[in-house]
Amino acid sequence: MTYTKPIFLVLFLPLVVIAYNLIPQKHRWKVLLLASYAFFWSISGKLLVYLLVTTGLMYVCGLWLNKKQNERNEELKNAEKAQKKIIKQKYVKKQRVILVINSLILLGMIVVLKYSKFLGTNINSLFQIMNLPIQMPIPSFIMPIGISFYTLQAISYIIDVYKEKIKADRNIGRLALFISFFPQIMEGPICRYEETANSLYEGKKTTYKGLTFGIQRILFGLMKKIIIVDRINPLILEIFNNYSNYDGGIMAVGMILYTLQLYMDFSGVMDIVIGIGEIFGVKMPENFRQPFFSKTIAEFWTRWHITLGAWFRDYIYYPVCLTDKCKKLTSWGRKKIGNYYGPLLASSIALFCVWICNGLWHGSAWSYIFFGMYHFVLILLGRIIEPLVKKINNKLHIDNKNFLYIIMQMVRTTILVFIGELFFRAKGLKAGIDMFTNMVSNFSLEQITNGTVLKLGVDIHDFIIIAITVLVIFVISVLKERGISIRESISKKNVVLRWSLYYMLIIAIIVFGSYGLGIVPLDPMYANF
Amino acid sequence: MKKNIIKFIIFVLILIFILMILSYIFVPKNNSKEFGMEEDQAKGIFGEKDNSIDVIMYGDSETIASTMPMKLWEDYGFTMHVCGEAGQTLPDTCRMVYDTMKKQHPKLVILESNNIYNSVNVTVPIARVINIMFPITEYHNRWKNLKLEDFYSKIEYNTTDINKGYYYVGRTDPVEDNAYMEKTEEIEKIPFLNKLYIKFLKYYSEKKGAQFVIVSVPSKKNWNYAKHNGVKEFADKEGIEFLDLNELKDELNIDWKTETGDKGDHVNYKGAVKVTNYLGKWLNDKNILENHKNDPNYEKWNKDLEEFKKNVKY
Repeated sequence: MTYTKPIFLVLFLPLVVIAYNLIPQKHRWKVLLLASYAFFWSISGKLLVYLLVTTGLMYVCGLWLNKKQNERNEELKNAEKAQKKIIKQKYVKKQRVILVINSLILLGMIVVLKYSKFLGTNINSLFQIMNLPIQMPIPSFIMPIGISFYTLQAISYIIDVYKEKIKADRNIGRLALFISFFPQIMEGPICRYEETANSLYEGKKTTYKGLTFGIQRILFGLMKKIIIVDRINPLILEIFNNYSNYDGGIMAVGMILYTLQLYMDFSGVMDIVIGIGEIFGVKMPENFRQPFFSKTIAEFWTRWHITLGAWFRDYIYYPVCLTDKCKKLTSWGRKKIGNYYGPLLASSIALFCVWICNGLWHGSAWSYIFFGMYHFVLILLGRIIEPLVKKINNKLHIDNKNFLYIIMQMVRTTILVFIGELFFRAKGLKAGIDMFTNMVSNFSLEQITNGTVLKLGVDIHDFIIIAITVLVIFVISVLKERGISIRESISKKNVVLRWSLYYMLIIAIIVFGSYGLGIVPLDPMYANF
Repeated sequence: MKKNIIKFIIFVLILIFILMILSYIFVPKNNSKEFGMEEDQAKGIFGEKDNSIDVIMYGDSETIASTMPMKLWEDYGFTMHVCGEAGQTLPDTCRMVYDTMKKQHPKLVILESNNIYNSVNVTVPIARVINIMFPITEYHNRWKNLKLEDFYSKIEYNTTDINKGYYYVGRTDPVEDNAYMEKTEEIEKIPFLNKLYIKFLKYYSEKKGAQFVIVSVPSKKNWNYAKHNGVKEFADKEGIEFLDLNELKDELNIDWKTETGDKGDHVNYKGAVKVTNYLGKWLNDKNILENHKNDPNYEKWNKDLEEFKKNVKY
């Protein structure tokens, strides 16, 4: 069961919405929790135990931290000024122990389940290179669905309790629902406790506006998924599986269409997830903000998978920057190389940690590490050359707010993103390098102009319908970028226009959707990470 | 609240109306591939004369590759049509039985057993009901080939299939050895929902005056003794006749080195001849089918046989 399957949309979701609204408000959270566990069970079965262990650990460690904080506060009340610092330090150490225990168990689970095969294979390769006659047995585990997402939520909760941004929750039901809420468990968004826990637990009745807005958003997501993602899938499979049969032009087509597919798939699922949240009166954080309008790679990552980027920023980037060693490095750097490049030394270390983690978070393979390092280098280079670019622009009297200049920056950023996604999708790092080399050294439009591209599972009609849908989404993105809320604007129009638009959307999905006999829909792509 | 419910009902009613209009446009106006009909071989039955088919066989690709109705016609004068489709699930079978029995009243309905173990989730029957109510959901891909006539033409199903649903597999892709169907006490359970579908098929066939039987055609890859035991147990309990051709290795003598087109998944035409010969004797022994060979109403079948024999040599 996934969010785009009929069993979920036609049966599971309506039943949960009906049950949720029929039950008294104080028990509604139980419906959501039960539905969430049923959803998890339907995909991962007994692996639900990992989710339960994570929930239990959050609960226990949260209360443990809270207890220590209360004890500290009690001691501080009666302490003299000179002692206060010592007491605080004593309790910081105690809390750190709890934080480390919690993080080791949570990260230990994900490392064993997700990375042991990768680590084992690489250690064995190392033994081989060193001519050592040792081979480690390589374990292989089945991962529970969404472990990469809910583990980050669990860690953020405990760190926020540790930092006293939030109070530890004494209600294990609320905590369990926050970590397992079924629309977000597969692909996020990675929510913070203060964003969703209370509204989930509150059990607000579904309103007419929430229902209609939610359904609209779900339909918009389905349009992306069914019309674009599933329709271009045969072409992408063919190009990435048999890349040696094609010239550089086809490689470029595959690279562009894969990026389009990934964006439409992930953002489409997010539309469905956020739409479901709206039906239950829960405002979930947005995960995309027109990423292809980014002027730099750094900006791109503040618009693409926003909640993951924000998590890395808050729980890796800033903590690394604020370590004593990094602070010292910054002070030293300021003196030696100035106020711009000085802080860049420490921030580049933090940035490196973020991008290693980002790469590994996406998967346990060298291609993902390369993907992370690729973006690290691009962002770092961007920061290093920024003053130089400003100087050149000033000299050449180039206005960086000029429309054409901005378009050029967007195109450049998009091309860099395309290249990164090529390596991301390729079957291993070697295949990625081969495809990229083929694209550059063997670039030709022959297989595009002679019609080969139309014989790879996507015909001219498919391309036309994909292009029209992309155009519609582009126009909507432009309006959103200008701060116009499309759904609010539509809701103010007269009923004929409003309903006509809804009918057009529904009919477009039914007529132009890629479903039915012989079509295998693609499972949500980010659910595998 | 009341106002919103009324608004919602009006919205849905208009949507249903639009879908009905679109369904009329998108539904193939003829049961041939040229008009956009999917699985046109099986649907060739819709072009046959009313009440002219005595045996109809349903199931997945095992069915269409293994049974030659035209050979039965040649040998016994029986009229049979295979209404199997690649990947046909039991809900699909139910729908096909319902559709075919609108114009045909066969004496025997055969369900090939392979799809009995093909587990289907609960949304499949819902999807099939939606397909029946709104054919646009089944034929939506025709947007690529819509013609002006689709907007005003009447539906006329008059195309027949000279193979009567049989799919010719000419190639040979051997399996190394002939061993399979090792005897065991093990029983492979039939999924609960699938049992309900089979019960419905039996009920509906008998309601329409047909005897309902289950036949398992040879498939080295897909069939085993545990499945045989599972179907046998269920069939005995429900009073359904079950013929397992996989069990009759000596009588049929399928040689998996020369008589399969895909490593034991399906039999090729040589295997299909053996299967059809056996089924012919079995049907003949039942003494419920008429020989229509000399009936002038079935003259077209003799012409179809001539065409069939030009394409399929055996």
